[in-house]
Amino acid sequence: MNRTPLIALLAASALALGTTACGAGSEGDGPTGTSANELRIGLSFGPFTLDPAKDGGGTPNVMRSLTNESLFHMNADYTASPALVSDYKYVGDGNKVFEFTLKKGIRFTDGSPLDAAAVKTWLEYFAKQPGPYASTLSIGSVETKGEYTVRLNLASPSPIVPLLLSQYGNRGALSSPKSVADPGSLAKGTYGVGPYVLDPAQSVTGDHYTLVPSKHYHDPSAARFKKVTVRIIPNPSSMLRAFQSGQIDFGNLDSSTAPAAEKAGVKVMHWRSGTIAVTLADRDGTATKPLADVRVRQALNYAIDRESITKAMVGEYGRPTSQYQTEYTNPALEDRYPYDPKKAKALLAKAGYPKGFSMDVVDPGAIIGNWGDPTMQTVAKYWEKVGVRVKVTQATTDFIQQALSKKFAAMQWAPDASPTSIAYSLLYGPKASMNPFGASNAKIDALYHQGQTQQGDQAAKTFRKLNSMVTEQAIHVPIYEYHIPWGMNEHITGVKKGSWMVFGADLGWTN
Amino acid sequence: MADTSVDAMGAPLTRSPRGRAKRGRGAGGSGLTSLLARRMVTAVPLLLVVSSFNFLLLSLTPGDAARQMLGTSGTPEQYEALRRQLGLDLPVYEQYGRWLGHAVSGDFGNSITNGTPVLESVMSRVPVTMSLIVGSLLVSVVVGVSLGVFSAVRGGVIGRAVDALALLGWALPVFWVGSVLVVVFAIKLQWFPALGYVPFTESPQDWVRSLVLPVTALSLGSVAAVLKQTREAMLDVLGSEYIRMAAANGVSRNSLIYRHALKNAAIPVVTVLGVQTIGLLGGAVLIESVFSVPGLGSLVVGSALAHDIPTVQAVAVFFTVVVIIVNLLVDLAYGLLNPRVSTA
Repeated sequence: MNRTPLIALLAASALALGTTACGAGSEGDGPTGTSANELRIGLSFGPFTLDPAKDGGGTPNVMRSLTNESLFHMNADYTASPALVSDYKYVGDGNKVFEFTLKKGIRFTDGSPLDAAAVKTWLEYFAKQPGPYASTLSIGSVETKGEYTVRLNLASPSPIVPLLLSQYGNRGALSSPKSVADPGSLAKGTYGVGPYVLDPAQSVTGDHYTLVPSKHYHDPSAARFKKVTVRIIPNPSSMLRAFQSGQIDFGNLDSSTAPAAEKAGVKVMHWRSGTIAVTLADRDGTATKPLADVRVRQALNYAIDRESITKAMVGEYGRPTSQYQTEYTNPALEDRYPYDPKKAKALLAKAGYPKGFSMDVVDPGAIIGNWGDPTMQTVAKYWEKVGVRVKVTQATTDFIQQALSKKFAAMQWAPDASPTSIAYSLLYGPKASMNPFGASNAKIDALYHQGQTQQGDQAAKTFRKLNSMVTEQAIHVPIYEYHIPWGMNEHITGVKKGSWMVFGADLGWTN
Repeated sequence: MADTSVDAMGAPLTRSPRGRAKRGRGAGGSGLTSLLARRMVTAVPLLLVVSSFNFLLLSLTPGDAARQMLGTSGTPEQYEALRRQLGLDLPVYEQYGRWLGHAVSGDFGNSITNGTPVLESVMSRVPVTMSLIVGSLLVSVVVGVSLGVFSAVRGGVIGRAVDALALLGWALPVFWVGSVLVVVFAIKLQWFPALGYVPFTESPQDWVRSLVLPVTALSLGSVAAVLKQTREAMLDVLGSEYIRMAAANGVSRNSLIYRHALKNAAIPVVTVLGVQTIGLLGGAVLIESVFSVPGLGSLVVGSALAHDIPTVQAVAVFFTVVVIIVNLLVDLAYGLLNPRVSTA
């Protein structure tokens, strides 16, 4: 047989591939041919929408911090410093009126000026949107007091207004009045006050976003890169490979991929981002009577070996803890419930349940890796050893519906860290959004209302008491604090370890 | 219409194309018009069934878009208000009716989650997925047919080895192959990017580079199916009486293989290619995830998780239209390859 045509065909194919590959190598700067003026970020999930009023939090805020500077800047210790604001104060007593003055000469990325009217427009728009943070700052009304001064009249007292106007919860991520007047445009672009602005022509929603320096930012030196690319990479293995092949400079890893990234020479930093816990939702015993007894709830805390579970689930990217909150905690309570199955059994017996009891628990499934179902299944095994039989249901994207359905006495989940004031409206208050049985504790309610009208050290002292009570009352079974490992190449600087997110990280460039 | 029954590897169950050919008018003239008309007519109920079934399935999946958007902080009042705003409080048939009413006029609505027009999102991703599919088909035809012919003609140990390799290529999971390719060619050798996609308009060379690994991973199974089918069909045809007669009459071996045998063997191969094209649409979803490619697959996965029904519906309709077109092209190819096969 004459094999010439076939061989020629295969040879041509190989040549074409070889030529392409050589082309790749010839750029001389890795497979992507990047330049030192570009920052490439990888995030495990991107914004739901580019409209900050309708978007959630978490990792997408890395991108938002580059396009939307906020009124205040949230620091690692939950305090807030003025950013676009020159002056601020509470007016009168009771934390119901808050006034702030804007810095002058600042423009949005569309060129329109930042003034009191623009802020009023934005905050009124924010409060009316069906966004996850719309209700957390209960604004009664917004007044303008001159061209640059804004007064907020709150519907209920709050000692943390500066924090609520920071990048936390997107309220402070102002967008221009023009964009607010056309919400469709807000969903497609960025219109904040920020060193960068989205280039829609080079972006694909949900996949990658290209940011270029804003012509109107007040500090042009802050835009250190000519271009920033944010790529959404949901698959952890793909994220690792992106680091290994040099295609991204900064991004979030997970506990399974971070060690391999470190081996590949990627610098990895990690810090507390929230707490993995089982929240005992039916703590008044509405449907599962034993949970009404604090001794039972404490027994569930004593029954688990947090050290072993943490080591198995997240290794060094987490830490065992008995406290749910991340702020205003009591160090003495950090190990409040050491592993002690005998004590757990004794407490159950004292409460009248020597043979244990049964309860239903829901978790977010495997969708959040080891933080979800694997951790819950392990906890359930520990509980079985002291006689508490648990039927675990894995949820998926319906976790919240399931958790609120009143079918489950408890929910295992991985909420982001949130300030105590927010945690109350999320979990502890009788009308809290994640309190399906409406359970309440009069002392906790009283401390919350007291703290809301106080400021500074006084408020901190009150909230510390509140959080200690939450721990003593065993409202949760905290398991471990979770850390998000952030990978970065050598030339990335300014990321401060200790902030519970990388909000406002400098992401500097030393090349 | 031609018989498209296939075995587990996508190969037609009927080996001899001549055995199942019907006498007809071929693919030309009124036959083609009639075929197109019939396909247009059957496409409508097919699209209705697929879109309604898809809508129903999405409605039955746990959770909803309103809860996804509000997260844990949303109050029950906010949640109910948003459900009403999004129309999620309506019965499923009414929601579907509303969607259909707009879709027939080409308005697929806006994404529930990000508010952008669905058609815009889908169309921006079509070139990406089509690059993967068309690239994989080209590789499947070139490599699969070449090796299939080689294997059939050469026979012996080498032929069986190629056949065995085809089985291996078929058995390996797409995502695993993708991962191995990335480790070797992107991380170790740094020849190609590990992930991402570069549009052709931006840089033709980088467009090719960004497609090489995902296309290779995606086409492996398809190459195996085409190879195996080509080999079987070629063996069948080469063993037939008319080929032996032609050989006895002094027709050269090259002419026998490429002019006579390959043309007859092509009909079942075309059937396999049709089936593989449809399979590649599914494979693209996985590959786009592994290589972080912004195609329809990654769009539909993200949208399904967010309960973004309008977006998922639009992608489902697009995929259905592609399947209809592929089947039509397969029928047309039959007619071209063998006019005795009826398209009427």
